[in-house]
Amino acid sequence: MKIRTKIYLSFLTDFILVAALIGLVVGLFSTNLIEKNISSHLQSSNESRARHIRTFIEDQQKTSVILAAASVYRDFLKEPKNSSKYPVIKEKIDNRLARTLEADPQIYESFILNSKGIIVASSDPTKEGLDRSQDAYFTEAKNKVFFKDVYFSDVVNKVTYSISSPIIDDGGMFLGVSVLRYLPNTLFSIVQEDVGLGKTEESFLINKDKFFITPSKTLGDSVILKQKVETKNSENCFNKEEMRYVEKNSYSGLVAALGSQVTEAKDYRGVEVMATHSYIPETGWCLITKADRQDLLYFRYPLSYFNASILLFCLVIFILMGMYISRRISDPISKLIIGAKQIEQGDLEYRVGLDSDDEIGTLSRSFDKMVESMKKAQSEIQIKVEDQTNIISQKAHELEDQKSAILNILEDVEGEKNRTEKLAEDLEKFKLAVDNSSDHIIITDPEGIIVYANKAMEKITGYNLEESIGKKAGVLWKFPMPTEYYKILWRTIKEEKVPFISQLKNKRKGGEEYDAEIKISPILDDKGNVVFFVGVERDITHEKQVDRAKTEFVSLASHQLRTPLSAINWYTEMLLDGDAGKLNKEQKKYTTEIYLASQRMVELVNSFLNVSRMELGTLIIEPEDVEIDKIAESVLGELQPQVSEKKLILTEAIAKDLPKLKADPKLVRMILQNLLSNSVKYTPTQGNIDLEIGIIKKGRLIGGVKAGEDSVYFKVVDTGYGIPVAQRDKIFTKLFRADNVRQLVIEGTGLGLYIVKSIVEEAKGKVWFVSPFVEKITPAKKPAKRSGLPGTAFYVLLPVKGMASKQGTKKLA
Amino acid sequence: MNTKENSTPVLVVEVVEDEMSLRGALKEKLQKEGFEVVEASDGEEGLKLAIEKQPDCILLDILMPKMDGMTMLNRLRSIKEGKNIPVFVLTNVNSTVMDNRDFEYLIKSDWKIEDIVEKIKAKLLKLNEAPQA
Repeated sequence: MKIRTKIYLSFLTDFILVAALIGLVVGLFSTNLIEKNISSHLQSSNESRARHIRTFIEDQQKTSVILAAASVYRDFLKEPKNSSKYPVIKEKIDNRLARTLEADPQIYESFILNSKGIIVASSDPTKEGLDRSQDAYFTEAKNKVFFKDVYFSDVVNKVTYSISSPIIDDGGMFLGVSVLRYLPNTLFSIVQEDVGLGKTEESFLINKDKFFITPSKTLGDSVILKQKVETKNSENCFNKEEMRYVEKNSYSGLVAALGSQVTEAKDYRGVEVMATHSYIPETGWCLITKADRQDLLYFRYPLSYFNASILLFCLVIFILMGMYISRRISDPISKLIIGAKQIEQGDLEYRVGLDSDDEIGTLSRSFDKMVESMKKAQSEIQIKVEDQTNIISQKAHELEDQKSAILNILEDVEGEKNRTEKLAEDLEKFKLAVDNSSDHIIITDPEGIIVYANKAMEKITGYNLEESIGKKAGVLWKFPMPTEYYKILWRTIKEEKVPFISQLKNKRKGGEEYDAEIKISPILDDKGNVVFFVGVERDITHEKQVDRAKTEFVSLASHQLRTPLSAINWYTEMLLDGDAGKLNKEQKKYTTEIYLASQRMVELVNSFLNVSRMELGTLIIEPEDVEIDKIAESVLGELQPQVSEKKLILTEAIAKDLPKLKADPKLVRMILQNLLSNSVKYTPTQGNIDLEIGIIKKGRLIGGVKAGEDSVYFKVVDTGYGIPVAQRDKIFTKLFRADNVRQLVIEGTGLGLYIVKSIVEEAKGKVWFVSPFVEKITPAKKPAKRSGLPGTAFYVLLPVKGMASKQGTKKLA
Repeated sequence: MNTKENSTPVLVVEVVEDEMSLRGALKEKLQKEGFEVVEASDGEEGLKLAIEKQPDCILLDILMPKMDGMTMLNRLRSIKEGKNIPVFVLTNVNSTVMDNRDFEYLIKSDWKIEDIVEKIKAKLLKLNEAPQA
């Protein structure tokens, strides 16, 4: 059976059990309750009706007594018939009797009997004179008020009852009786008043002989005084003890003492009824109130129907709820089952995905997690299997390889032996080479302790190997240098871990000083730790001497070459100035030629000197804040005579916001001077020259070249002879002059661009040219004469950060 | 300052130069320009002459026998008599120690003799004008 059905059935069973129990309890309880309720209703209705009858009769008795006590009655009975007053009184009495009938419609006859029982006055005058001395209402009423029970009056042909009271004078003498005859209508209506206990409810009175004195609901008037009621109630009602008890106390007292007086019995018709009774002592009647049992219990059925419909409604609700709840519970379970089946079939991607926060939700999530783990585990296993497979196949390969390797090794062992021997030989050679190197080579550990030294060490320093090895290099050879020098040395090789290169004065063992160039290199392991230092020292005393000789030669040469030139210059100047008298035209011409030649000689000498200095490294760089525009103006000013002479059109475009460059003004000047004087020199008459100076940002292009950093640029463009394509790569070399200009222009040392390049490179700048360069010449004042020459553009970049200071011994000429 | 018999003061220039040809050229040119010229062919002689003659200015060569120009200049500046004499170092040697408040530095081969004279004139004129102003 499915869970759903189980839940459903259990719901149903539970409900039926509970409903049956409730129904039983309610049914029993309600029946009981209803019966109790009906009993008390019946009883109270009976009781109150009995009370009503009693007070009703009492009232009528009081009326009778009051009437009988009237003085006019006594006066009338005392007055003799023949007295003169008699008719007056008789009339009064007649009126009174008539009024009595008017006052109470139930009274249909009122009359007075004299002491002998003769009707002396009556509301019905025809009755006067009749003798009623034998009638109970006379005989029984001589000393007390008398109630004459219901009887059928043949006279009036009516069911009636009467109440009579004695008329007694003040002396206590019996004078007569006042009789009131009543119709029973009011009594009937009191008895028959419906109290809402159903249509079979009925109350009736019986007299002490158990005859009906009020009509039967079912049998009508005919039963009155004719049918006897012989039931349990009628019997009980006239039980002597009960009668006595009721007379003494009240009926309610009886009920309180004896409990419910309602009985279940058959009535006068033989029908099952519930009935009760009350004894009315004043009249000796018994009031019976009863209703058909069938009818009374009928009230219970609607209640049962109501119960039943509620139960039915609840049943439906329960069924629906059962269905709903069983579905709510069983649906997620069904999903779980579906999930389980899916996974059983191998679909590990399937997820139940129930998201409720109850146990089934938890179960679903756990289930999904479990599937996830299964999936993971499965894939891990797969990977592991693959890995293992790989490893196994790899191992197989390795085994194969090892097998062949072993074979190879066996073959190689012989060859290896030969190679090792060869290597040993090589190492020996290497050691020999190092040992016999002319440079002094040592190896120290990271602390500077010498672990190796070659023969040159002995020769250069004068210390032999035995005294050197194991010593600290710094202690053994104390360079006569300032402490600062050693700090830099150690910082370089130990912290920066780069080679330290320096020239210094050293001392041999004997105390002799010598010039040395040392190079100490840290040797690092894989992790960058210093393993040892290799020091190479060379005795450069001789080189230094040569160098000094060179410098001295330059110095001397400059002096020696310039001095005679100065003499030639000055004397020719003086001649030309006419200091030795006016020269004729020819003399002047010759002297001028001598002078110009001498000038070129000076220029040549100066250039040579500069080149020598640069090559000797004695060039000084003294950076200071340079105002490039002023230098440019100055250079242009100097060139003005030649520019004017050749009618060149010179345009300048110098940026106004040039920064003050940290540079050596003499070097900057030298660059501009060489470039511009070249342009002037190699541009034919009426040509154009443009000078452009500005700033260029890092990465921007200029003249086809990308600026490596923020720089100041010089651009010198001319419409000159240009640079032959074949000779472009030589243009910056020393003493080189291009073929095309060598024939055209005599002057020229072939040193200008070499000097420019040397300076620019010293300043970490760049110099290059573009030729032919005709397209971008900008004639400012006059349009350029199209010479048809290729033209040249020279570019120079000088880093804005400026030149580094450099110590040397010579400035430029 | 030396004064001659005529009222116009004659300015005295001492030329210290071992190269006779150059010394001669300078002497002639300066004399032509109206200076009185005293000559010395080495530093020793030049120093003696400077103390003795108290010239208005000295043209001084560097490379000279016996005593070079720089030594003579240092000696001159170290004595009271030589402290304020304007000196033009007139040489063909480039040196790092050039350009100084103590003297002006001219490369002989780069300068026209006329310009040298103009430079001297300008310098002395400036010096002479200063107290008169």
